[in-house]
Formats: sequence, structure tokens, C-alpha cells
Amino acid sequence: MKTKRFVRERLAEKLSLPPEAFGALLVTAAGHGVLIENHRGVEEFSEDYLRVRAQRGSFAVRGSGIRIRALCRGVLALEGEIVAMEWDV
Amino acid sequence: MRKTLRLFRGELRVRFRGGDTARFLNACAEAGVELREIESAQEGLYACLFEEERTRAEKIALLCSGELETLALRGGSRERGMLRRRARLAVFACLCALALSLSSLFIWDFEVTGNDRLSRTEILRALADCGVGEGCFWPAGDAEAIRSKMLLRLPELAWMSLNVRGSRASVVVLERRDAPEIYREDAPADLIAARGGVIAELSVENGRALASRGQTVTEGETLVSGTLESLAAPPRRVRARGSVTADTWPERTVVLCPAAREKSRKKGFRMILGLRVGKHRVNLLPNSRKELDECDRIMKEYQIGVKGLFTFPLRLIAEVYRPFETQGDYRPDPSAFEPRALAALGEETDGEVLSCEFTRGDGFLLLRAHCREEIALTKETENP
Repeated sequence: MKTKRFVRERLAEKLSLPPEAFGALLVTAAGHGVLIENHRGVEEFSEDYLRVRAQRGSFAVRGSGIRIRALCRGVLALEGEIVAMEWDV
Repeated sequence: MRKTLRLFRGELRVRFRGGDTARFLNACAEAGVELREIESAQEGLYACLFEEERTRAEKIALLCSGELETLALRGGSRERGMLRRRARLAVFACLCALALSLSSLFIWDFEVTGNDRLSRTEILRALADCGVGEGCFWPAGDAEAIRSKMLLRLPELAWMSLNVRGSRASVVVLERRDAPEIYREDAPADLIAARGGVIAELSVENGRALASRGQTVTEGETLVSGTLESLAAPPRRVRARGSVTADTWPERTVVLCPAAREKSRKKGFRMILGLRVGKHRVNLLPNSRKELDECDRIMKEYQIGVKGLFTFPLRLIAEVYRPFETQGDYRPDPSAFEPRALAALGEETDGEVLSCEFTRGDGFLLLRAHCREEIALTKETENP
């Protein structure tokens, strides 16, 4: 697993590409919406909290009235009153 | 569009309860079951999914130790089932769509713009002669060829454009302007009397006066000659110019209708409705073909369609018959025509009407007037 991650990072560095291109979590937030790409699955979901697994650690969103607009493999779009976004690496 | 597609595919509102919600969400994402509008609640999880993915989602829910409950269904199989039950309605809708698309291949309405001297009827008749009439199949038409034919057929046209949108043909024309008459200022000419009368004033700018003040002249008589004679040289031809004002006594007779019956409107009316399908008319009410005597017929046609977009080959015809009756002998009053006769004379006279006198007779009105007007008229003469 570590070798795989190492290879990805080295490849991104050599090709001058962003690490997100090789599976790192990409978060786009705008207004009341957040788009999370390259996640590895939902760990916890409630009305005021959402946590997803990332390549390294996890990523959480705190707020109120959170709901998932769409959920596909690797992509999650949510909306609600976002108060905080937390990384746990 | 996306919403319509969702409705067509069928959208389910489901509730997942009794199991691990995060596990259920991940399993659905892995299995390719697209979940939307996911909301977390005390008793579980609410989400939307396509109807066709219900079975897979139910299996996933069972694997996650929970159960999936369907709360509502929008569109999809239910709507399609309703359509199946209303097969006639679906067939009718399809036929309407087919008729609409087929009717757009034919021309059912014409719009003519840019015409001034030529009437709409003349242009449409010429178009019909060129093969573009009401109900003609347009894909077989050639706008360039029709334009060439039309320009040959109607010499008054300088340019024409024929655009067909749906079942509506838009004809834009530009009429030819006549070349102005070439006027030679130095061409030899005489001044002659346009009307007979007694000359009141005469002034000559160029030429030789042949009449004098107080002289009576008849129509066509030369007043100012353009031929200048000289003892030392042959006669010289010039353009006579001047002004000749004369007293004239024109007469106008108005012939009146000797007797007529007075028309008065009776109460009530009758309306006949019909449909014009293409070139054929269908009456909607019984006894519509019955002849109606002594009625004013007012006919109105309403085109069915969306203005500027498309036109159906259907016209609603409303005919209103208003009955009237004639009674007594009506003799027109000659005095009612006096102002009109005087106004007509004023328009014909190049001056002013000094006095007038009317003689009223049986079936006629005679107007005698005393006018003072310009009677000089330029008449070009050929050089000898």
C-alpha cells in the first residue's frame, strides 16, 4: 500500500501534475454546496455531520441541514449550512 | 430536460432503516446505484433513486441488515401504464404531432409585404400561376426559379424574396420605380388655354403674347407664342413662359338615382359556422346551405395556428346574416349632393371659386360656377 502511494506521488511529481490527479481528495466549496471528489466512501452521515474516507485520513464537514445531493462512486455533492471543514490526516 | 428524463425513467423516494446508513451509501455507490437527495433522519435515511434500480437497492439494503421502503413513485412505469390505458389518447396525440409535422411541409398562409402599387391579390395570383398556391408542397419548390418567373410575370417588381417557414410563406417585394420624365428647359413651346374664358390677367416672361386682357379665349387657343419673328433674321423658337389668369364659368351635372327603395335593418341575425380544411369547406351546423334572401352577409375567417410560427390548414369561417327589409320609394335629396359637387369642382380648378349657383331638377343637380383660375398650359412645339 505504501509502495503504491509512493509510486503515485513520485509519478505526479515527475509529470508536474497535481496529486489530485492520482487519487488525492479534491474538495470544492462554493456557497452552500461542497463537491468532494476521489473519496473512498462515507464513514458517517447525519443531519449536521458528514465524514468521508480519503486516500490519507478522512475529511469531515460540520454544519446543519446537511444533505447529499448526489452520490456516485468517488464523487459526492452535498449542500447545507456549512460551518466547518476538518481534515484528519 | 433532466427533470423530464427522470420522470420518464421513474423516480422513487425510498426510506432505508434498520441498518448501517454509511455502509448502505457506500455499497450503493460501489454497485453503481445512483442515489440523490439523501437526507438523514432519526428513523433512517431518505433518498431518491431510479425505478429500474429498486431491486438492486433492495438487495443492497438487505445485505446491510436493513430494509428499503418505497414512499412515493413519480413518473416511470405508472405514467407509462396510464398512457397504455389511454391508448386512444396516445394515438390521437401521435396523430396530431404527425399532422403538424406533415402540414408544415405545405403552405397554408401567405404574408405579403413591401407592395404599394400591386395589390396582395395580384401578387398571390401571380404566385399561384407560378405553382405556389395555398396547399402547395413546398419541399418540391425552388425559390430562385419562382422569383425569376415572378419578375418576368410582374414587370412592376424590381426584386422579390420568398421565404417559407413551416406552413407560412413570407413574400417580400420591392416595386420598380419609373424613370423620371426628362424635361428639357430649352425646348420650344407655346402657352395654350387649358379652358375657355375671359382673360383677367396676363404676364409674359418669355415669348410673344397673342391674347390680351379682357379677351375671350377658347380651349386650345394659343395665348403666348414661342416663335419670335425678326426682320433681320429667320424666326427664333423659344420656350414661352408666363401666367394667364382667366374668368371661367364651368358647369357640372350630378345625375341622381330617380327612385330607390329604402333599406332598414330588421331585428335578429343568424350565424353559420364552417371549417375550411385546405381548399374544402365543411359546414358545422345543419341547414347551412339554405339560401337566405334579403340578408346582409358578413363573413370572417380565422386562421388556426400560432402567429409567426406555424399555421394549420384549418380556417374557422363565421358567416353572420343580418336580415333587412326595403320599403317605400326613396328619392334622394339633390341638396345633399351640393357640398360634394362644389368640393369636386374646387379640386379640379387651379384657382378659386368666386360664386356658384345650383339648379335642382328631377333626378339631377346642375352646378354653375364662376371661377378665376390659371388657364395657361405649356405645349411643346417641334423645331421647324
